[in-house]
Amino acid sequence: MSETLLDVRHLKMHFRLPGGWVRAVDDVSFSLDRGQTIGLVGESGCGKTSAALAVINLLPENGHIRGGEVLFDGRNIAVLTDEEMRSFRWRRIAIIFQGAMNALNPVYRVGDQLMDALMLHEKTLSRRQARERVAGLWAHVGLEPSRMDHYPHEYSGGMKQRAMIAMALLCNPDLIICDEPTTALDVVIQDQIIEKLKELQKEYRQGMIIISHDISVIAETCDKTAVMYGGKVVEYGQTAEIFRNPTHPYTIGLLRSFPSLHGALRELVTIPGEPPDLLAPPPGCRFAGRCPVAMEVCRRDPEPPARDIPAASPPAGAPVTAAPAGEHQCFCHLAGSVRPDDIDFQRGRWV
Amino acid sequence: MGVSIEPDPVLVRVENLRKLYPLRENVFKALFRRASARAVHAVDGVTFDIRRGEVVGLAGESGSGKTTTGMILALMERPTAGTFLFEGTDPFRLSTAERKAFRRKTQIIFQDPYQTLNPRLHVGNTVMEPLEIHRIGRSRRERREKVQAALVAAGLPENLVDRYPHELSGGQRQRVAIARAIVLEPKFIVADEPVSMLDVSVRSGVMNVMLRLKREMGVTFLFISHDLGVTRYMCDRIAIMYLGRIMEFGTREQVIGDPHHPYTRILLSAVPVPEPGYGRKRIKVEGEIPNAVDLPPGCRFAPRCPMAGDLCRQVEPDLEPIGTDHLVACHFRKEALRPENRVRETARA
Repeated sequence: MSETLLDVRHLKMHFRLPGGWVRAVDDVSFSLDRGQTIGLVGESGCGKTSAALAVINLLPENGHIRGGEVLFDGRNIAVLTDEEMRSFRWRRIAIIFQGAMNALNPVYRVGDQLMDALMLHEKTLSRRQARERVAGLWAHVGLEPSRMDHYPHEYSGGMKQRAMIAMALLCNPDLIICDEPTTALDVVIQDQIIEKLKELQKEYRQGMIIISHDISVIAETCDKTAVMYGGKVVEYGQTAEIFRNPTHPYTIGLLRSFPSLHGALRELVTIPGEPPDLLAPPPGCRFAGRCPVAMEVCRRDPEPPARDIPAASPPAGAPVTAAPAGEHQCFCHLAGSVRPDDIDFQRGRWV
Repeated sequence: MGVSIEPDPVLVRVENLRKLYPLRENVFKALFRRASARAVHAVDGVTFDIRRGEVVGLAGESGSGKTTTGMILALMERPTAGTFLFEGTDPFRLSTAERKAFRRKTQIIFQDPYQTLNPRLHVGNTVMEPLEIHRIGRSRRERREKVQAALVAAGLPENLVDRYPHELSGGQRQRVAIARAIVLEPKFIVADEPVSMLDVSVRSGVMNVMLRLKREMGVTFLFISHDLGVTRYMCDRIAIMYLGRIMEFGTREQVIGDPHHPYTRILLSAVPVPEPGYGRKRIKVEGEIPNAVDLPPGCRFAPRCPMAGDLCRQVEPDLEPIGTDHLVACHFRKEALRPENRVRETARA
């Protein structure tokens, strides 16, 4: 059953600065089915948050969509006017911002803030009806209904985040975007929130975009993953495929620099250098400057094209599921010919 | 025959350490409540030791008291009660002048490299400042050489000397903070969440620098982190803290691989695994870490503990050994060893 909810095609969103255009999101494509979760993963400044903001056209004044389309339920929403978009947001697409728990107004009761938001979008609701709807959600996200009449300072971080999830669910949207939904939370609370998000998604079958720098959160929550670097998607596909068979040197470095609690303790790799300046990105592959196995061709235009990676053979004992073609793409000239253990990040060369 | 004196393998010893922060309630309440001033029990009876050349980790959620413990060990907070011995000396009993000299032996690295570097000092001066304060090195040239050596040891290129903090990346700034800490050649460094603000690919580099300092220069670390993966990678021994007390203390293999305290197990079971389809087993827990003002009687984890019984709600368990180097503060520490109880606990998950 495949029902495409969101299809982002060659999206370009740039910021205008006095010195030129910062190419924060540069030719980014991904798609998402109803009920699916996609993870945008990458490090600070890779464009993952900008990509999500571009999807809902919620941009700062100097942010401009300069190409591509965002097909939501088959309709290009990148061309909607602000007015049209406003009614679209929240009703159909909700977003939970990074540190959103600090977005609650400290001088109003939390429940009232949600009721106000709901009544703004559904003008026919009476106050009592709104309160009933909010109270129903309260229990759903794991909050005590009596908590509705409390102020934000009486909430812990985890409870505020639950309230924000309730706010996102208010109008029963088709797509929820979560920007680092658990980053400021302790591990036990993080786990509760993640579980809650997954549970709610199973029930409501929304599509979900999770933006995170934490590959373990992505691994546990997302069906698909887009690894971003320097404003571009460098590897894209089924999460299981990407983690089992990472093919882009950046993805490989990212996975091998993550300290896990499981498995053998091995030395973590460091990717030397700095991300590129997106005001004047280098020609060719954006990662070439830091890539230990970069070749001459990588530093020349055009950028490496997408290559399809055949599905990795599943580990022994696992059920055999043939991944459909096009489910794993890598934007690297060496895609398919470099394996994780081939790269020596410390010395910056092939092993 | 001469008697060779082995240096004490223990560098830092902490016994029953306490730090209470009195609550400043309003005048009205103070009038009627008089002596019964309430306090935040940030650190509430912590005992452990750190051996020369090892990295000991303090892990736990926010509010567990790990940072306060670190601040005391870095001589930045005075304990309310308990002893803290560094090479057998209690630095808080020294005179001010003596303590200043003592400070050379202990340094601290903080979480936020954007706030802990003076924006008006370039890298060279930042790293040189401690040398000037402690009047180390006979000439400016000698100091400059020490600065260069510290920058190299922290993995920074030498040409960064005349850069200002705003010109550096997060990883570079944290390396400058490390260089500033090691330029005095301290024996002991308290590192408080030193990599939490850094990106993954940069974080590993900063961790590897600290491990190299330990390996090659014999620096001893107290490493504070809320991230258990990072703690596992960095630490030889790990203490799990909850509400101002150590719940479990042992080697990395014992605490991560064979945890005995229910809280440790819950904490570990909540960490996501970077392997899709791993099928992690969660141990569910109710509620969140409460405030450290009104502590429950008995074990402070009992109100949330899936195993707690009547004894747990009345008597606070001590941190007691269950094996070499492995200490657990739980009335069930022995029972937890029995296989049938383990099965029961996992079935609850």
